[in-house]
Amino acid sequence: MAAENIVMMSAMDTASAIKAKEFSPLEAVRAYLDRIERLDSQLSAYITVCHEEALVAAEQALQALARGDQLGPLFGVPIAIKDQFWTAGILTTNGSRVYQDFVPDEDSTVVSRLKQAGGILLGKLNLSELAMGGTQDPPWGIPGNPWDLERTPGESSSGSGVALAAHLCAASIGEDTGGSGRGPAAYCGVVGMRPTFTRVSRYGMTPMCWFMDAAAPMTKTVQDCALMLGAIAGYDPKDPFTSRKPVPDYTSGLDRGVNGLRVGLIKELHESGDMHPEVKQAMEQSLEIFQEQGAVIQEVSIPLIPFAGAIFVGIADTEGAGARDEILREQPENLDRASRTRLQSAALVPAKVYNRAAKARVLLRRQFMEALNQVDIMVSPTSPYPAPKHVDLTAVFQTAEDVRSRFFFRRSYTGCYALTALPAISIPGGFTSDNLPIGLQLGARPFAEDTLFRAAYAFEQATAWHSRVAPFDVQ
Amino acid sequence: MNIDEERVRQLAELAGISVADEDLSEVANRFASLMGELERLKELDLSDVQPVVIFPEEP
Repeated sequence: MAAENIVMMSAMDTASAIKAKEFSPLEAVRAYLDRIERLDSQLSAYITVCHEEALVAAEQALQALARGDQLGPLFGVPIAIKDQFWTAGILTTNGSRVYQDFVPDEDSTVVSRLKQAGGILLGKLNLSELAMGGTQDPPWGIPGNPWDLERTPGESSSGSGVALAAHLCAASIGEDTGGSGRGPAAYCGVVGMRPTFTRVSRYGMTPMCWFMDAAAPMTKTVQDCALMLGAIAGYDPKDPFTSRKPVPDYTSGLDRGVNGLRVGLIKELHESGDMHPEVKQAMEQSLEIFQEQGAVIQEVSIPLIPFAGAIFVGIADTEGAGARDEILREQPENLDRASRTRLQSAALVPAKVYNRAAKARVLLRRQFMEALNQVDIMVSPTSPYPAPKHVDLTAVFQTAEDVRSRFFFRRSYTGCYALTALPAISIPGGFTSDNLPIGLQLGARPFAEDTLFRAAYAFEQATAWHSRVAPFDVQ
Repeated sequence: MNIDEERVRQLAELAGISVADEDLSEVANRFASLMGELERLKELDLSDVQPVVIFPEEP
C-alpha cells in the first residue's frame, strides 16, 4: 500500500491491515517518519522524533508477526505522546525550558501500556508550557493548526491535535486537566476524550493539578478513541487512586445506536449570548441528528456552569502554583511569561477564597449528578467559538475584563467536567463557513465512557465531519 | 479587596515570590480578574457543603 494511503488510515484499520499482512509495521512507521520529516518543520507538532527507536520497534514487530505471537490491539500502530508523559531514556520536556534536559528512567504507566498493546512510539509531542496555556514563546516552536496555520490548534495538547489533523501519527495520548485534550481535538477536527478521573493511571504524567489531571486519548475516529482508552485504562498500583472497576471492551457495542437515549441540552450554555453564531447553529443541527436517530432531547439546567471557569482556575491554578513553588521562587526567569504571571497571580489567592472555590466545586458536581439522573448524556459545544488566531490568544492581558473575556469564559465549557470528575468526549460537530472545525462535547455519569462512545459513534456515522481533510494536507 | 500593582507587590513579598517590574501589571490584571470572578461565589449558599479532593466512587 502507498505511504500516502497508510497515513490516512485509522489506528484500528492500521492494526487490522498489519495483522492481515497488507503492509508491514516497518512500512507503517516509515510512512509516518517520512511525512513528519517532510511536513513538521511547518507545524511544530513534535518536540522529539524517536526515529531509531521506532524503526527498532517496527523490526521487533515484524519478528513477532513472523513467529505468530499473540498480537495486541494496537499492534504495529504508530503512536505519538504528549511530552508530559515520562518515556524511559527519552527527553520529556513538559514544554518548558525548566525541563529541557529531563530524561526519565522509566516509562509512565500509560506509555508502558500502549507498548504492551503493541503500539510503536513515533515521538513526543509539543504542548503549552507545563500543560497550562497561553505560552507566548514556546521553546520548540508554535504548533500550527493544519486547518489554518495562523490559528491555534488549542491548548495544552496542541501537538496531539496537530499531529492527528495533519496525519503525522495514527493515534495520540494528550492530557486533559480542564480541557487540554478536548479543546485541541475540537479546534483540529479530531476526537479527544477526558475519561472519568480515576479510570487511567497518572503515574509518570507530570502534574498540573493532581486531582484533576487525566490522560486523554486523542484520535482520528471514535472507534480509535475506544481502542486507545481500553489499552490504557485500569487499576495501577503505582497510582493508588485508580479505580479497580473492570475495564470493558469499549469497542464492542459501538453500533448499538441512540434510539431512546436521553440527550440533555445544557440550558445555561446554550442560552449564552457569547457563543459564536455558527457554533450555535452547529449545535442545533447536531441535536436534530441525534433526534432523527431516535434520541430524546430535553433541556437540563446546571445553574453553576457559568461559574465553572472561575472555580476551575481558582483551584487548578492555585494547586499548580503550589506544585511549582520551587520553580516560581528559584527560576521564574526560565518560565514563559504567560505561565509565570499566571502562576504568580494564583500563588496570591487567600486560603478562604480557595476553600470557597473547593466547596463550589462540590455543589457543581451535585448539580451535574442531578441533571444526569434525568438524561443519559449531556451535549454542548466544546468551545463557544472556533480556533482563535495565535496573536489573539497569546496577547498580554491589558485589563481585568480582558482576562475575564479571554481566559475564564471559555474554560466553563470544558472545565466543568474536570471539576466534577466526569467523562466527556469532543468529536467533530461541524465546520464554520471559513472551514474551521467545530467540536461537539458529550458528557456522562462516572464510568459511562461506553455510553459516550456509543452516542459519539452514532453521530460520527451519521455525519461526514470526521472525514474532512485539513487543507494543509493538500498544499 | 482593592487590587492594584502596589497591593500585588506587597502580597507577593509576603508570599516570598519575586515579581519582576515588567510582569507586575499583568500579574495584577490576572489576580484582580481571578479574585473578581471568585468573589461572585459569595452569592452561593455553601453552608452545607464540605470540600472534597476525590469524589467517592459509587457502588
